[in-house]
Amino acid sequence: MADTSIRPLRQRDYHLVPRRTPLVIDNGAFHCRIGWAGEDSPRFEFRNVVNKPRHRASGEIVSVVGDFDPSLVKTFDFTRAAMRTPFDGNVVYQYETMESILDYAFERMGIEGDNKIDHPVLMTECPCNPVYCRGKMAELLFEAYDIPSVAFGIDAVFGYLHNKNQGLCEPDGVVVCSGHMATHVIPMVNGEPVLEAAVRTPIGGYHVTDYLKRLLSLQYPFHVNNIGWEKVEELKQEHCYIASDYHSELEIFERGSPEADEKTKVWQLPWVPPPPEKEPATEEEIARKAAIREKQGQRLREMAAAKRSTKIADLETEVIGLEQLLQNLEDAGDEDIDALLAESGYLSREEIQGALAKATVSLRKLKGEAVLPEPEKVDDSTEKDKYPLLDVPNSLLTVDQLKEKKRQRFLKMTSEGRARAKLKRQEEGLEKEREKQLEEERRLANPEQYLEELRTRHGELSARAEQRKRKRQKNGAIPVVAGQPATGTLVLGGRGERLTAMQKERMRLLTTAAFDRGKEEDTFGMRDEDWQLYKRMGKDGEDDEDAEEDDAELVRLEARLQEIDSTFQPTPGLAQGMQKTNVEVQAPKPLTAEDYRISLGVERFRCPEIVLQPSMVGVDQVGVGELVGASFRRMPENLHELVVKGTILLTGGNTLFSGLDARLAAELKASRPLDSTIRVVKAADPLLDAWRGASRFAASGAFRRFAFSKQEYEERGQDWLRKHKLVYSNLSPFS
Amino acid sequence: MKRKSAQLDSLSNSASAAVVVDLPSLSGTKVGSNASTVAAGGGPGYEPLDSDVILPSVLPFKRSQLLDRYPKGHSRGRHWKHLKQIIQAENYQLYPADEPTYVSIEAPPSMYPAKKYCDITGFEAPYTDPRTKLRYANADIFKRIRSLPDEFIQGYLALRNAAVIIK
Repeated sequence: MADTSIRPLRQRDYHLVPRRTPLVIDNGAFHCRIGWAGEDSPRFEFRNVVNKPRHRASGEIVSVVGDFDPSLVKTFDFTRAAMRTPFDGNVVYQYETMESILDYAFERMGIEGDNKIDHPVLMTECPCNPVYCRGKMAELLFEAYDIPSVAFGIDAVFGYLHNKNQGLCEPDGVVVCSGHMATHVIPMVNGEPVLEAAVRTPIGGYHVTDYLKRLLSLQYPFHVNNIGWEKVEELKQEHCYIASDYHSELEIFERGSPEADEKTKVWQLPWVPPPPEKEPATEEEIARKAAIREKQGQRLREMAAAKRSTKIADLETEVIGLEQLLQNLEDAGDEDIDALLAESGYLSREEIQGALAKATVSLRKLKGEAVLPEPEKVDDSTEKDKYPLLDVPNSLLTVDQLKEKKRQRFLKMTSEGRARAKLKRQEEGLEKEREKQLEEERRLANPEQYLEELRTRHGELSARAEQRKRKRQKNGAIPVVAGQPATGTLVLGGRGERLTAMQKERMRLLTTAAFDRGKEEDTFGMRDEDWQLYKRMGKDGEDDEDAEEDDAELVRLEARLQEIDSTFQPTPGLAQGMQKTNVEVQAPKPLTAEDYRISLGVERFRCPEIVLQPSMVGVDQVGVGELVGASFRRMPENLHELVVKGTILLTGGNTLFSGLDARLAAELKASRPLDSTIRVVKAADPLLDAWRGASRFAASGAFRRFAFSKQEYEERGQDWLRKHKLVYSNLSPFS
Repeated sequence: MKRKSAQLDSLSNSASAAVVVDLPSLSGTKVGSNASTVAAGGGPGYEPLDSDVILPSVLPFKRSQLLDRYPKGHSRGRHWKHLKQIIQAENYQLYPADEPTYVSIEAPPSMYPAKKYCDITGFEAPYTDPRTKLRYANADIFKRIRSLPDEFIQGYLALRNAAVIIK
């Protein structure tokens, strides 16, 4: 059998193929299979799609036929290419795409020819293919490839014929063919399909995969990128099954019994564990590190000491120099002072003294001696000295002095303010101390009563906080549900119901303020009361200040209670806001392999179930079980019995689910008389039987009778093509 | 080999391909590859664009080439009738009543009422949330439904074709 995962090699034995051997193409909506008539298996099969990626180097758009191949991504840009299928439902409608596919198929078959393919073609089509499509396909084959003749047959019927030849089913029976896009039930009488009684429901393997894909994407929104169509198809083929009794199977999972756990499959996505936590360092390690740190510290300290000693030396020479200078000034006469000052660069003796004081202070500091507090000295000087200009009337001052006076006034005010604040702080501290002492005294005097008082106060406060919280929530503060951000639109109704009366009033004020303007003369702000408006507007949330005070008091009380009462349990959640600021924000839980796991439990049988219950995906047509019954009802009276007693053959890729045969038998049993026998048979190979049946048919003489040439088609026209219908069964088993 | 030489041509001409496209296409004479068909599924040893992967745009067994039948830039003939349109154009109402057609073999609607399943878990669902219209199996799932963002609610509804489509 052809392996679809590897690109089929070009067939090399074309020269061995006899002339005019018919080509057999099973043109399914999912896979296309092609081979020579009379052979046991198709030469190869491939996904019936065309991709149009861009060649990275040249920018050309090329056509890639068949399954998506990741190894081509290097050379081709697939980002803007979508898979194109020539099928709409189970009917071919895009003949350009079809031609690309046929080009590829014929080329891979190794066909050589001079502007023509000299082989008749037998191609499968869906039951009751519209004549337009059949005609288009025939035209394509005649015009592009100039084939001598073509015939069209139904894949499901070919599959039935093949299994009949294998002895799996009788000439009379029913074929249930579930393909990629649709499921057909066709009754067979004496090896011929009774299309009058055929039924089709638009559910196929594609829909199962799509359903599974969409379900998983909704359940695992973080892994959507991993849930590709191909991967889901693979999961479906590997894990999906049909429950023998859907409802009891569901119950197993709803109860959460161990059996359900057994049945749940887990798909582990690629996941890289975070680097393991570092082991606590050994003592040696710690000691080694400490030694290194110590060494580095030692070096730094040495450097600092060296720097300090040089600085001390510098300062000492400076001090000595300055002292010398002062001494010189003392000694020198008035006339020499100026010269000395000019030489030293200082303007006055005071300045030198200042510099000397400064140098001595920093020298002392460096040597680590106690320094006399500087501010004390400042305080000593009277206000008169510090702010000499303040008492002088303005009229006596120059412009510069006026500026200076302003500055001095400012300085005075700020220093006074600072002093006042300091005093106040001290007083408050004393007050608190006193209160604490008082409380302690009260506690010592009567511990029980004191505790009782504390408790009642705590109870009151917490009740108030609770009430506030409730009110806030009712008013529309959005509650957070179990870690999931609840969206406002979901949890709450319109805007109106989320506002308190206070907030509503505020909104009203804001809107009137915004829209009131321009009516008449704008006198806003003329009166002082106008400005009160902003005060009222600004207050959002009625008693927030109160609440804050209460919360602080509550926290204090709780702390106190915890201190003296061992039985006290702080109410959780109260004063939460206060505590939250103290607690560090919890780090998000590190992702584990479990977060990268996709589990398939109910989905394993829920998805294929849509074949039996299409209503699950909103299709109101009947499922496979009822489909057989519907087909029986359409049978002509005289043939009814034949078919009902015959075998029911399951074929097509979508019947590969395990358990479908048993389930179908059970469903049919429920709808048939008690003693009726029901035989549901699985096809020998649901995927390739159709091709095999067609291959056999194409090799028989019957094919030549039904195949028509281009000339015949043109002469007879569409009306005749409508009646083109193979007679499948008059092939002898030994042709 | 005939095929190989054609490929070499196509490779050497790929630079001038853009020019070739603009010329009126002549049946069977064009060598420049513009819509070369590349086969998918190259094994690990394949270097794409090597001689076995790229197909000449001219296949010797074809009477008329794809590019001639559907010239680049010509939208004529590229509009495909969808299945619905095809069926409408078939005029099945003119067919004899007993002739089976694509439409007549369509399955009838089910005779049984559709069973209701929980949209999230798939379990049997006795309840429907009046707000989201999602079906649910028990109170836990109801809670989950209520905390679902709208996008997901619509996604679950769309699974059974019941989503509200705003056009």
